[in-house]
Amino acid sequence: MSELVIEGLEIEYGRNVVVHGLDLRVESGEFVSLLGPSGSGKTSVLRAIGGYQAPSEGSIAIAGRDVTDVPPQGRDVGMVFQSLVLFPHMSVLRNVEFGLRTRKVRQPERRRRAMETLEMMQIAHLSERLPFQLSGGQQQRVALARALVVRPSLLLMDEPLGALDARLRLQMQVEIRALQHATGVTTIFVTHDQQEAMAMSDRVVVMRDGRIADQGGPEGLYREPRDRFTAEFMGLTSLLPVDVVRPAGDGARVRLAGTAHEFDATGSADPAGGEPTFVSLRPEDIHCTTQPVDGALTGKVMARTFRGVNTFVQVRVGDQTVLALQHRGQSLSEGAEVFVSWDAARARLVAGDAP
Amino acid sequence: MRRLIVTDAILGGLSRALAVLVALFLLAPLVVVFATSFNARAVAFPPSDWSLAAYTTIPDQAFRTFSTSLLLGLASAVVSVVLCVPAAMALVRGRLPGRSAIETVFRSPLQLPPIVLGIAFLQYFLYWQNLTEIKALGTFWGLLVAHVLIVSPYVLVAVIARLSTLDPRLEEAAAGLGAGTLMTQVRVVLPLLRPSILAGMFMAFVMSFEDVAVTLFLVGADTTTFPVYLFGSAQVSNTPSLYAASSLGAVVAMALALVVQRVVGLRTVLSR
Amino acid sequence: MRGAMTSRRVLRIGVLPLALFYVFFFLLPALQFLRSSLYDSSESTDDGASLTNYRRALGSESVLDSLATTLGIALVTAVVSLLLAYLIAYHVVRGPAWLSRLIMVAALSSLFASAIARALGWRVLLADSGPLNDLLLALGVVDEPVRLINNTIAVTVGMVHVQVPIIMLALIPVIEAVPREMERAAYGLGESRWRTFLRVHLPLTWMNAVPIGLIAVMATAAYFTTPALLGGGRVLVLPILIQQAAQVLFDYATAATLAAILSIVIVAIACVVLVFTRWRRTIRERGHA
Repeated sequence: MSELVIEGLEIEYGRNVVVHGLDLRVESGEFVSLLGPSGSGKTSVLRAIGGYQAPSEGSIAIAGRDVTDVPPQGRDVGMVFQSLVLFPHMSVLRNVEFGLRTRKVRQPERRRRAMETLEMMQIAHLSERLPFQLSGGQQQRVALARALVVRPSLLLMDEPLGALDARLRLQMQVEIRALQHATGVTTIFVTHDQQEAMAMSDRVVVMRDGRIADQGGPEGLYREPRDRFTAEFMGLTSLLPVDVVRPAGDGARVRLAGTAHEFDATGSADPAGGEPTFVSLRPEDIHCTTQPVDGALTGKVMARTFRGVNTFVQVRVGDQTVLALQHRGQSLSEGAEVFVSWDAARARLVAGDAP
Repeated sequence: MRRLIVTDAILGGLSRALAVLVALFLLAPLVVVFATSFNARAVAFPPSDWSLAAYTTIPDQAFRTFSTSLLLGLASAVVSVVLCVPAAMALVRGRLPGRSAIETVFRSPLQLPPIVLGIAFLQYFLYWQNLTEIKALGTFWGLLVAHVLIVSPYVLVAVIARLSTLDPRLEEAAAGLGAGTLMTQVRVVLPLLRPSILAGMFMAFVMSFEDVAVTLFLVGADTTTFPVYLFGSAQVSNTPSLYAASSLGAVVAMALALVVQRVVGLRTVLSR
Repeated sequence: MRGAMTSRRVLRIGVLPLALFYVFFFLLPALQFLRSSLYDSSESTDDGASLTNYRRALGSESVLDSLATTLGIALVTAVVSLLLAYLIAYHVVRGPAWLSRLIMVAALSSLFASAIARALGWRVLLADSGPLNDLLLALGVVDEPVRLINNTIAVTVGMVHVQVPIIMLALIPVIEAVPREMERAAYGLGESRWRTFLRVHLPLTWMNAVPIGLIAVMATAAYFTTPALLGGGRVLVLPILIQQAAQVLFDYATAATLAAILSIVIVAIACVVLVFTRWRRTIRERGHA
């Protein structure tokens, strides 16, 4: 039995339909991210799951129970809001005890469980402090503790790490994932940061304009995106406009637009909507060499960007510009003539209009 | 350029001097009342003889009415809060249709001249008295009703203002943790409203304590308020004890203002 | 609305106690009071509802005089108070700390001291043998004491004293809203303080000052206590007329009529305020009329 089943979910704000006919299943213990740009509907879906937003159509079932008409109080769902929303007039301990209090857990049991959770988050020593006395990271942990202490069926998190600085953010990502593994709570995490989603999730659901664009494990989505939007959203990529010559095996034979250069690519593009077709190449999969390579295209390095860990180069190939990662030991200079090639297995055919 | 600087300095100094004069203008009558209360026999400023005699000759009735006013002020504040806090919650969070119209109606007693309210109440109480033999005129309860009406707009506005700025997510968070509506309001919302409730109560007390125009029509032989008593005395006589009594009243109000400033900050109270 | 947050509806009940209270102790009295003004006050048989009382009141010279006095004092008070309040509000916001504090203390103290205490203070200050007259005599400005009490001068002074702190408090946020940078820029470009004030401050604030001034007119016209104590029974503003009708003559119908007239005048001014703020809003939104 799936922990969460959503069927045909539609959400409207006034006349605006923000989520169209969405279906989603989440299994027990899974960590699922809802990933998308702002306006994609991801937060609306999360709020609908929590019971804070009533859908206009569709149903939501948690742990086998239909909760579509049940208010948040009755859903056994823990929520961590974007702004955390800790009760400002209550100490950390009382914040965390709140959920136990509503469930009629009495002292000393209540205190014991609250302190236990606080210890797990390593903030037991802050139990008497008030929220405004805590740092961003500490407040995060309190919010998590408050949501988890009641052992909910489902944990919802709405871009909780947005306000943290980069380093703390990365640290919290690791901690949250570890916590989720330890407790096994089914988690749904909303974010617009694809790196965050990939780092933490078992499964990523990419949303666009109120619909699911694609979903799957992080690696699968990264390497084999279903459409242009997903390809671009999941990370840096170069899009080469191509025409499909003919299907070939699992993929197709394509030709670089405006040239006679043909090559193979994986994936299929169904130009049903007459959408333009491209081949998506990740920077790390493009090889630029000063030595000629069979079947490579010629190009010229236009710009070089040093990023510490990596160095990116922009290479002009015919009419197109591609972004490539400089490989270990290489040192390409601007203006250099290079030969550009890639692994056929890494060329991904996708279709889609510009956003 | 030099001429500019000089004229600027002169103008600046002049305007500041004027501002000081206005400040003194505002303080003058208070200082005078205070000082005049130290006269022993006749009203004169500066006082002819400095003594506390006037304070000892304050009639008993002044003190009786003073305690009536204190009680009335407190009662009005409390009753008003009991009525207005749920109403504020209903208006801000309950999604009532016609909310702004209802709010305007609740605030309208402020717009009417107090004298008009006084007369209306007088007639109304007389009418009910003829009809049901229930006497409201000249009783504490009648005064209470009228005062609750005059002070409620202040309390309501103070609470609504604060409630509107409260993060609605707080109530969502409470709900998500399993709290029903009642528990959420009592344990989460009310504690956060406390400063504005106190501020509103303070305004209510002051407005009630100082009201003359409405109360004037509703007092009776046994039940009079302090300001009405002073008003009556001031119209017929001019003795130092009158000034002594007024000073006492003013001191109480100002002391209260000081307390509120410490606890809540007067800005909360005075912003409309 | 399904499921989510329907519990909010429950909160609506909270409005009932206050609403009921208002129905019984505000709306009903108001209606009954209006109704009584429509019935003839003299002993004639009941003619039914009519505007006789109003016609009579508006035809009476004393009533018209009273209206003129009331509005006249209200207007003068509002204008003078606005000017004085603007001056001190400016210094509270932009002046040195000591001055700001002095003004605030003065304003708040006088606000919280009762109207009666303040009026009594003026009574002493403005008396024939009081300090103000003493000063004028000493300076040789006049030969004998000027009558400053029990007349419209006293009432106006008293009302100005009441309104200045209130208007000042209302003006402070208005002045605070003028961006400091604009003043500094003008000043830095060589404009004198005075012209900076004229060119920067005034244009940005007058639109907010006007409704405040109009509200002061409304408030002053409705005032009873101060004119009663400082007018000596000679300054018969409308509120005093109303009180006399009720408590001296026991003519409640006339009192109601006069009170209704006062209310209508005040509401009329309120409408002007409303129209003005609407006009102001369209100017703000469109950048022009």
